[in-house]
Parts: sequence; C-alpha cells; structure tokens
Amino acid sequence: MNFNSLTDLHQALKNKEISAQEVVKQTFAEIKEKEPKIAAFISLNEESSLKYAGEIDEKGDFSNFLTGIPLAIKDNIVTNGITTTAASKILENFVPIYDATVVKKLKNAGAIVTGKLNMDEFAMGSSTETSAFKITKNAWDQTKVPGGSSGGSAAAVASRQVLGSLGTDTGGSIRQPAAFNGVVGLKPTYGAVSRWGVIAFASSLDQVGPITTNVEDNAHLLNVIAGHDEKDATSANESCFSDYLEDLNKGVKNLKIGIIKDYLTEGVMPKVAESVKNAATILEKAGAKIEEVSLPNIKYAVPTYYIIASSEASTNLQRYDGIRYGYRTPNYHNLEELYVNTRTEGFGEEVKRRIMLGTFSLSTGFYEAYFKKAAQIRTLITNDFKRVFANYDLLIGPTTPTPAFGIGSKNDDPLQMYANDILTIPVNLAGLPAMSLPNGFVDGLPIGLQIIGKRFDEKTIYRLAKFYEDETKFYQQKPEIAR
Amino acid sequence: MVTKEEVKKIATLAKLKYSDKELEKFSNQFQKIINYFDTLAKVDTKGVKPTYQSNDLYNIFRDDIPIVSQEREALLKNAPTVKNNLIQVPAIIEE
Amino acid sequence: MNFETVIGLEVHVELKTKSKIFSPSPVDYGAEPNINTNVIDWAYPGVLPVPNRKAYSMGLMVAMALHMEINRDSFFDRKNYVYPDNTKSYQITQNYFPLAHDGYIEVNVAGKTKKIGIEEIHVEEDAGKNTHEKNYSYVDLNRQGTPLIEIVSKPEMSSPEEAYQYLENLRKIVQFTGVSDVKMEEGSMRVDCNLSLRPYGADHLGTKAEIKNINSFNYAREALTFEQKRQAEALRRGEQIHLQTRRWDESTKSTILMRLKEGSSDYRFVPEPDIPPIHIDQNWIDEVKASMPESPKDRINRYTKDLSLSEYDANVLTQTKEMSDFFDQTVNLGADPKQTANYLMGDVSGYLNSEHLDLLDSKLTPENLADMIKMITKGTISSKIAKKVLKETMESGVEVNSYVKENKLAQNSNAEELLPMVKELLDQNQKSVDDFKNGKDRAIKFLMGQIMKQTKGKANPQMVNQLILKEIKKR
Repeated sequence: MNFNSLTDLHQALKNKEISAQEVVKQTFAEIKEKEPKIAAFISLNEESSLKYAGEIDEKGDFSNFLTGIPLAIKDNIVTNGITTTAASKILENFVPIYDATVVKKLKNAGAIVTGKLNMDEFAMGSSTETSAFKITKNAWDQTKVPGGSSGGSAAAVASRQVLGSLGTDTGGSIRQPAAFNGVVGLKPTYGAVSRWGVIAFASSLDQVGPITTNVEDNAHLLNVIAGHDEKDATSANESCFSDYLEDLNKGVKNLKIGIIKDYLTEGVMPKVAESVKNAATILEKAGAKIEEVSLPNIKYAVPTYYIIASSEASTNLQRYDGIRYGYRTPNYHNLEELYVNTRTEGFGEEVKRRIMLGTFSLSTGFYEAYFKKAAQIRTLITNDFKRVFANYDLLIGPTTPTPAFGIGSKNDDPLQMYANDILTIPVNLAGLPAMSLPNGFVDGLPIGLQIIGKRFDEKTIYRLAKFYEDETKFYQQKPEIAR
Repeated sequence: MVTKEEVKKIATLAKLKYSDKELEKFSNQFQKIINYFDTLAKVDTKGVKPTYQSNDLYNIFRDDIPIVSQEREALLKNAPTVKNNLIQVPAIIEE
Repeated sequence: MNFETVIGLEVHVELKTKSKIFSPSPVDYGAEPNINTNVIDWAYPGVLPVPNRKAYSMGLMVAMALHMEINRDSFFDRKNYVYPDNTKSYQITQNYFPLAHDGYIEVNVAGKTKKIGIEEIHVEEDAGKNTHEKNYSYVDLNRQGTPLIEIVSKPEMSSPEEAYQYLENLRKIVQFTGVSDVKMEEGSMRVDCNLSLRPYGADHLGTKAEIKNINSFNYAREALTFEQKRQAEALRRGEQIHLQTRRWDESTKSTILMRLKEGSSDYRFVPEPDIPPIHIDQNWIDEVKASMPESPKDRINRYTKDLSLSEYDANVLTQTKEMSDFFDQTVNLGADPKQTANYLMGDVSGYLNSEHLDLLDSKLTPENLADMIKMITKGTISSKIAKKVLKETMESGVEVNSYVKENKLAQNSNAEELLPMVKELLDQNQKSVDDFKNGKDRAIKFLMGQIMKQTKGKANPQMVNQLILKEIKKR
C-alpha cells in the first residue's frame, strides 16, 4: 500500500484524495499478493468490507480517525457473522452470533473489518505454529516464525497488508510478535480493554491490544478500544481512562526510567541487551533519569505463569464439548465418547498439553502445591513491580531474549518454547501495561524495546515511545515484502 | 513422580485420550514440565496472600433487570443436533 | 449392636429474582424450551458472567434469618464437571469463601428444643434440565443460571424426625423472607440427605450414604428411616458401608443404589477469575435488614398482643407466609381480627383442602373476605348467609358487595318494617305468648321461626328476638 500509517491514510481519506472503496480494493489486492508468502489471515471478509466502504463513501464524512480504514482482527475475538476459530479445529466452522465489545467499538468508529488473523491455537504458543490451519511467516524473513500467539496480527501489519490490527496478550502474545516483526504492539493494563467477546485463554491475564506501524496510530486505536464495559465485570472504572494522545509529544525530560537489570542477563542475547543499553543512552541524553532496578522474583515468572495460565485455560476450554456449537466428532456411540473424541480430535497437541497441566495443577492433592503456590508467587512478583514503581515512571528492557527463531526450531521442546516468554510474562502476572517498540535489528531481524508502565498509565508509555521513535526512526525501515 | 496411570486419570478428568504410544512420550514430557514447576517449591510463600485477579475491583454487580435475548433460533442453528427446540445429545446414562 | 444415627442435610433453594444470576436472561423456565437463554447461558466462546446483586442480597437475607456469620469478604469459585446441562462445564459456586457460615435452626422433638447447626450457605447457579428418551437426552437451558443458595447443615441430626423438623422450619424461615417459593414439588426447594451410623460413643463418623431424588419432607423422613434400618442391618451382618449415592424410590418405599463414589469426581475448585471479590459492608447489611419481612416469631407476638388472638390461632396463621400475609391484608382492610382468623382457619382452609388449592391460587381476595366480615359485623348479612357468600366468592371470585346486593341477601334490620309483623304474629298466637310467660322459653323459637319464614330468612334474627321480647312484655 502507498500509505505507511493509519494517520497518513486518514489524512488522505479526509482530503478525499482516495475513497474508502479504493482503499478497500487496494487492501484486498495487497492481501492477495502477499498472503501466499505470509499466510497471516484465516478468513477474509471482502464482500461486506466493500459494501460497507461504499456506504461510507456515500456518507462522505471522514472526520473520525478510523472511518473507512481497513483493519484486521485476531481470530480469537468474536465477530458477528464472520467465522471465528481461535485457530482451532474445534471451532473450525463456528460462526459467532454477536460482536466482541472491541469489534463493536471499531465498527462504530467506522473501521472496516477485513478479516481474521492467524494465531497459535487458543493463543497458546509463541510462534503461531500451533495454529490448526497454517503457519504464518515472519514479514522480514519467511523462514522465521512471526512470533506468537498474535503472529498473524503482527505479520499482517509488518507486511503492510493492513496498517493496524488487534491482538491479544496473555503472556506476551502482542509484544513478542510485534518485536519479531518490527512493529508497535501494546498490551494495555488488565481491565483497560473489555474482554467481552474475547475467547478466553487465561481470564486473569488476557488483554486485547493494538498493533500498528507507529506509536501515534497505536494510541489512536487504544483510544477507540479502551473503556469501561458493563458486560465485563473485570473492566476498569471510567475514571481510569484518559486521552492516550495527550502526552504524546511531551518528550522524556525528567522522566524517571528504570532499566531492569534482571532482563539483561540470563538467556538474553548480548546484542539484544546492548540495544537496550543504547536506548538508555539516547533517553538519558534527552534528559531522562535512568537507573538500574532489580525485580528479584521475576526469575520465578515462567513456571508461575504456566501454572496459572494453564489452570485457568483448563477450565475455560472445558466448554468445547461438541454439544452446543463447533466441531463434533463423527466417531461416537455414547456421550462419553462424544466428549472425549471431540476434544481429542478437535484440540491440537499444545492446547491439550496445557489443559493437562492445568487439570493437574487444580486437582485434589496438587492445588496447594501448584495453583495456590503460583498465585502466591504472583503476589511477590506484583509487589516487586509496586516497589520499583514507587520511584520510577517507566521501566525498560528487551521484549524478547533473541530475534525471531526459525520455523520448526523449538517445536520439540515445550520448555524451551515457554522460556522464550520470560521477559513478557511478568507484566501479565502484575496486570501492568507494556509496549514493544521497534529497537533496531540483530542479524538482520527486528528486535523490540519493552516499555512497562504503571497501571493505567499507558499515556506515559506512549510519551516515551513517541520520543524514541522520532529519535531513532526505526519504524521507517520496512521489510522487503512491504517495500 | 507422575505415573502413566496418573496421567491417564488427569486425561479422564479433562475428557481427553492418549493412545498407549502417545502416552509414553507425553508422560515423559509432562514429567519434565512438572519438575520445572516444582522449582517453585523452594520459594518462601508463608503468609503471602495469593493473587487471583490483578485489579483491585470488588462488588461489581448487575441490577436485576431481565432482558429477553431473542437469540434462540441462532443459538439452536449452531448446535450440531437439535429436536423440538431442545439440544439433542446421546442418552445420558443415569450416573 | 446399637447405633447412633448421624444425619446432615444439603438444601438447595431457588431465589425469586427476575433475571438469572450471571446473565440478564429472564428467570421463567415454565416457558418454551430454550426461549429464555442467551449466549452467556449457552457458554459461547468469549462470554463473561456479571453477577446479579439482588441474588446476593437475597442470599444475605436468608443467612441473617438463619443467624449466620456473614463472611465480609467472599468470592465465587468454579466447580468443574462435564454434563450436558452444565454448559461451561463448570458451575459458578462458592467453595473457599462462601457467603456465610455457622448458623442454626431450632427443632423440637419429644418436647425438647435442639439447635441444629448450619455449616454454610453459598450462592451459586442452577444447571439446565435434561429429559430422557430411549436413545437420546434433550437439554433445555431455560433453568441454566437460575440463582440458588445451598444451605449445608452440620451432621447434627440424630433422627429422621429431627431432619423432618429441620426441613419444615427451614422452609418456613426461608418462605417468610420472601426470597423463594420453597416448594419441593416445583423444585424451588431440593433436598439431599446424608446419613451414617456409628456405634454409640464412637468419636469418628461412619461412612455415609447420600440420598437424592426426594420430592417431599415426608419422603425425606421415610427415606432416612429406611436407610437407617438398612445400614444398621448391613453393619450387624458385618458388612462395610461404602461411600455411595442412593435415590429414594417411592413405589417400593426404599432407597436404591445409584453409584459408589470412588473419588472419580474431582471438582478442581478454582477462584472465578471473571468476577471480582465481594465485600459486604455494614451499609449492605443494614439495607438487607431494613427490607427483611417480619419473621413468624414477630408476627405471632403481634397477633397475640396487638390483635388479641389466642396463641393457638397465631401459630396456625403463621404456618405459611401466604396465610399470614392474607390475614394481615384482610385485617388492614378493616375486618375484625378474630372473625378473620376464624374464617381463614375454618371455612377457607376447609375449602382449600378439599379443592387441593393454595391460598394464592384460589379466587378469594383479602378485599372480598374483609367486605364479607364487615357485613357480618354490621349485621348486614347473617352468618348463615355469609357461608353462602364466602363459598361463592372463593369459587368464582365474585365481588362480595355487589353479589349480596344483586341477590338481595342483606338481612332486614328495619324495626319499622319488622314491628308490625311481630305485632300481627303475637295477635294470632296468644297461646305462645302465654306459654312464654309461663316460663316455656321454647315458645319464642317458634315465634321467631314464623317471622323468618315470612321474611324468607332475611330478617335479622337478633332484632326479631328483641322485638318479640319487648312486645310480649307489653302484653
């Protein structure tokens, strides 16, 4: 596409340099051209997108930022009338009969839902390889994974098939693929974005967030999707929200920033650690106060997370039983066989593994030692952040220990795959907002700078991010496929 | 140690099935992950309040106002087997 | 060997909210199949529960009525089990920190009052309903999500009679709070009984059997009596009792084994992450207290002290909230309390029993009963006519005032009309006048009868009596 950002596209629409229908036509032309290489989409919504664009052109009012703008949605966010699968065979032909709150908000703002994006099955994975349908490729190197679980959401934006998408982040599922694809991905504070209509993986950790090519676009999208929702009892009060564009251009002078020491050591590639130190130098030069901080309990974050997330997932996914919707096995003679065969055939290996781990962690005799213990360590990790945030406005570190790894390279060892989430998981456990922002390249592949904020202080994250983006201009570099 | 029998029992609870061949590989892998989980045992959590939700909300309620959904036809359409507006399932053998 | 019986009861009570506990669907499952369901009730991907405050307040009210300790901080948990009528494959209930704990109910057996402890009350959702045919079962989700409270007794009842009384009293207490219909036959109250035996003096409980499918308090008593005997006989034969679930079979008057519990179920209770915790502050408690209807005990006090009813009458009237409310409404409309009590306990109850009707299902209204009693008090109708009027209004719901008017049932209490009739009668029956003066009181009955005949029974008998006596004296 000729546009690099939602902001550009919005200007063009507003100035009537291009019509919404032309934008949609171009978008689907791009998708058709790039999809054979990237495989980011599970389903497309071409016909009704075009129809809707026509209606928008007829009205001709492009004052709203998102009016006439094509976006794409991760396939674990339900869309009324558009097949929603969570990349699982068990929901292969499932057509929702209602819209998720975030989808409703995007539609109300005039956005066009072009299609549904590939992901790890039920968002369980860090590479989008556990999808039941296809393997999405990294926009920069098609032999590499796009990250996960929102691999489709990040790759679609990085390859400029769409300029904005929604992902979900339970343990890093927005930030890690954003880092791997060189785009901007934000996981909002737990409770900032409604989970109504978001297919639950781990209810106490899941959040929806925007993925865009630049920071300003990201803040625009968050402005639309954030807010209280009475359909979600864990949704934050109205008083927690503000205009995320407000502080965008305030610079970083006098911001107190902690650089997380524990994020630069074990398992983190030296070049990745180096990039964070470079970032610190740039920020310091601009007047930010930078100090090293330590979060001693985050070394327990990975097992803590996998116990909690798997436990919640095991109960959340028990509803897929072949009775009321979705896949039903043809192989059954009685009710028990219907249940067992539907689930055994309908779920992929990784999802089953997590269900098993979660079922184990909650079962009689193990609950205290696993689930409850993990919930206690979650408190310790949360307290680490609280302590540090008493003295700092933001924390920074890398998003991932390494750039994107090769497709198939970690499939055999779940523990190795899980360890990859070490830097993103703590934020979910503590319910904090965090962004992955493009931070240059290692071995020709993009890496991300992770910026962690206080609860409901996304504004300050955007402030730092905008400054750093303007300073470094990493976002201007595009992968081959998008040039 | 999680035995193969225990893994089978967990699978029964989760309404999943592993063939004998799969069970061999899976049990090993499962054991490895549980061993990894066990590294948490050494963390001192005496008197630490567990965190089940990461926001500070409490008393979030709805008023008692009924809303008729008018979704029945659409809901029934998604169900694999339906009869007389009821969801049909293989006979439930009385427990 | 002789055994001591230990009984514990688990009672589920449906709360009468307008909408479900975690979804806004209406609570009305008499309706067409699945009509009162939505995506939440069907556990669609992406849906979330939002709790109904009214349901929690109702639970709180029952907890207070049962003298329970309220947990100021409580929360919901997920109870995991897979069943076609349990759409999420977990029930949202309370396991770790339920609504309330440690209350009691008083029972009175063989003249002795005993407090039966209540372990806890938790708030939870009901499942849908399955119906069964030969090869298939069918699921109706209208009931899915109906709010329930479960009242769990301590294992402190030592006879089926105590259990029976516990249930009677529990039903009455809950009924008077107004939060539930508590009708066993309609499923708004459901009882599971646990019974075990142990040698007298033993400090450990024996292995229990759970009895399900109990549709009335009488069945509960019968089932427990049967089970008590069955277990005693088995133990005397040297058999072991296994943890098991049985059901009461009314046709054979016995409990039948459903399944042995071998730890196959593991509910994996986990705190519900979708619903924030609940904190009950003093304001909430005060609010519920203020809206709590008068208890049976307070009503009995009021009836005997303020309305001068007998202890017996007050007790009978407060057997059900329906009856007590009806009484109060009638009296508030100006009817004499004693007369109202007499009619409700006599003619009205008799009629309801013979027709197998509930008071609220009959056509009688407090307005009509009050109008009728006021007419009696004023002398407008005789008590004999009243019986007829009452029967008519109970059967057809006819408005009493117009019915009496249209059918000309009012008595004649007009002295100016009656006096000439009396005079004429005495003139014609000098013998009766003489008899009366000679001490034959019966003569007056004859004379009255004549007047009643002439007036077709509508003359006010008291007035006629007075007129006759007065006129005879003059002669």
